[in-house]
Amino acid sequence: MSNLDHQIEQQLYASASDLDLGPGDVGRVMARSRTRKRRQSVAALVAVVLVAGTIAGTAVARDNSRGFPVTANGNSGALGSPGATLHSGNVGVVWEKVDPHSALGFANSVTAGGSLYALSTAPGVTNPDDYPGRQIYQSSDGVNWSTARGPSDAYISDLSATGTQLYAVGTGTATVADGPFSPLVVSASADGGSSWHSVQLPIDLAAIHAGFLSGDGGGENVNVASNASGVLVVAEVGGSLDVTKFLPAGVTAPNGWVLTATGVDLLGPIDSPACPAGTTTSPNLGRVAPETTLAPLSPTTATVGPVSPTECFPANAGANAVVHASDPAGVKTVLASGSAIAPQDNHPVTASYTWAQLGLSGDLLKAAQGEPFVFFSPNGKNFQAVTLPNAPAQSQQVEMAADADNFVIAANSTPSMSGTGQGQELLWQSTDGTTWTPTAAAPGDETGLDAVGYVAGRLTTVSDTQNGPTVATLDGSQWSEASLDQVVGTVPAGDVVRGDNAAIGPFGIAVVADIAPNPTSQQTQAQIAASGAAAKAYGAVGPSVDTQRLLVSRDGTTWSSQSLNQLVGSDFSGVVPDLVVASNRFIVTAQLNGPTNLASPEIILVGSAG
Amino acid sequence: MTAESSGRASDLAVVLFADFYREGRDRIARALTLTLGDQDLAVEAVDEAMARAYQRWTRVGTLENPGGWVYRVALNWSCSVLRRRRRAPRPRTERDPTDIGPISEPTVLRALAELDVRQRAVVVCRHLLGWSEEETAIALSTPVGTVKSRLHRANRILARRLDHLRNESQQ
Repeated sequence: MSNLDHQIEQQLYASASDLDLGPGDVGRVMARSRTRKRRQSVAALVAVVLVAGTIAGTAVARDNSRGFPVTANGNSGALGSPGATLHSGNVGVVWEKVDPHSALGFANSVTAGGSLYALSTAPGVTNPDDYPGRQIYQSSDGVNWSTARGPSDAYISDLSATGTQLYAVGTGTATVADGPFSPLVVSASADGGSSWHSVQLPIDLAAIHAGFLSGDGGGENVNVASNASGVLVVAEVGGSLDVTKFLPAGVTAPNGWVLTATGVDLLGPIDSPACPAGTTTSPNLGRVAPETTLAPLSPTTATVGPVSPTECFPANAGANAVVHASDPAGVKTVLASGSAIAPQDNHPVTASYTWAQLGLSGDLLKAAQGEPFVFFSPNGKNFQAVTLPNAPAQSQQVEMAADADNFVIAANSTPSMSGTGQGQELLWQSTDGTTWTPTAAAPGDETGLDAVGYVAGRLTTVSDTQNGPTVATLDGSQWSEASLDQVVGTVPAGDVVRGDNAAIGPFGIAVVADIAPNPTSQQTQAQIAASGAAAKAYGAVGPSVDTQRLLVSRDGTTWSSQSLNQLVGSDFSGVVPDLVVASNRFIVTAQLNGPTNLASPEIILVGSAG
Repeated sequence: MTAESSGRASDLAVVLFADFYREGRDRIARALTLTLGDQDLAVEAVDEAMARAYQRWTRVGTLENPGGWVYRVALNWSCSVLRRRRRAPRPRTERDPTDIGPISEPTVLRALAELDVRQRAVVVCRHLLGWSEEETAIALSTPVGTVKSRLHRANRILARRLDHLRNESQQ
């Protein structure tokens, strides 16, 4: 290494170390991922009449599919589970594998009502080198897609279609008055995307931005659903309140703060161990993969801000230890789970202020509390804010769906503003989009939903519980729950079934289930131990998925189960980024192994009645 | 979200990802900040890329260098955002977001600003993240030869601008 190289490195290290990035929030990132995953999975539910509208744009590919029929083979025999009985059987679905050149890549927000519309980067490639940004594609069959024109004044994040109407939500063009954040807009097209009319949602993003930490306060996770009654939009605002902007003169918060149900607690310096005796913040995780030999950067200056709960893990793994990997450096262990300690439990509360004392109100208060913003319009033009009764603060992972007669909104909420405690799934239903009724979630749904929608007019959810993927159906006020591991097929001893992806739509329900070694089993640990130093970091064992199965049902009762490896082929990478249930078919996007770790090609499996 | 409260498909994956995030987020965000000259965009891009990594963790987590995957996705995402901003009408008061960010000192950063973003990415991957040319090539999905040529050109520019550093170190 030359002196110049050394000097450059030193200077870059110094410059990088001087950056004050603010605290990361892994929980928020996970929630963001999970929300997106679920948004990708859930389709709006409406009675579908395919539109023969004029589509502007260029045909991407036509008639170049290499389809092959695959009959959905069910497992024989009826299998039951507490609360409901599921059956394995032939559901009458024929699968076609579509050439990657006509499949959508990196798609999300595929509509299921009216024509099929999708946001996608390009056909067949997950992450092309020259990331072109997403645009709207249209298809009448889910096989051949052509580009459709999108609104020129908005960046689209979600779509919904009802009959001939196509709705898009996203961000518009910012003006000086908007500050750094673009307004949230809803665009509508009645001619297949040739022309659009956009309106702004009535949300005060400028006030929210002004009251939030620098860079926070933008709209994110904006979703749309529609039926003949109108258009429903739910927006979540990301970021955290900057409490220091609202404290009385002379009051500071040098040790950070935590939000409560009624306001804010200012914290003093930590005055007790971060974790209770016998637990630690640093489980023996080891590194997932050998990253670099880079020397750690100098610690940055502590940033005053919200204090997150502390994750505490058992100090001595003991029976709870889970060996997850071997590498040349030796066997690493991780712990199955930790628990969260609220900031007030290891910091003294030096002062408390109510929202009123801080002068917070309106959209800023709503955003600070983490409430979703819900809007409805009967015509797609004039949107009014609507209230979800008994909506708690800190709602996240908001999901929504519609069928011809109903809307449903689902959200996961933590009972405390500090983010500790077990999550709680909440549901609201409405027939007109403006009057909402809280609906108790199925008992097994406390950890969040993978899909929500209506099957044959009945509210149905799919969630991944401790017992594996579970489908729940609401009859009146009574939920019936059944575990899908009963219809998944043969599960090797010591393996467990986990839900990976799910979607509900007019054609039925689709679930991708992973069958993988139970990481806590002695057998798995023995395998890992036997693999010794030859095994690469956790790729050989542990959370890697051995088998993935595609479960589909038309009625929620009779299910087929097929190996995705067999359906997709030997190039299947194990990732199913998109799963859509449209009016008359299932559409499954599967990633293939690509030449690099980035540009993963994709294919589509289309399952239709046959 | 905690590992306990998630209760999701794999508590193990949650813990592993959380560990990866804690180890890698700041480092990648700092590197991307130097690449883009826009700290806010870089932080947001890394969180976006981390969310995507978590979504695909059964695959991304097994890569040789998941940090390279995150850096690359974050860089692509940032570039698409910058392109959108460039296309969209901007208020007069807004600084051109495609400009290199608020760099005044030190000299290395000013010199870095003279490089195009692809050269900067190579320099940052090599000199700050410490990745080899091959690792950089994989992370950027670029042939190794391209990495070498970009690095060579970048180093030539940096050397010209930073010649005084070499002189200082030799004194």
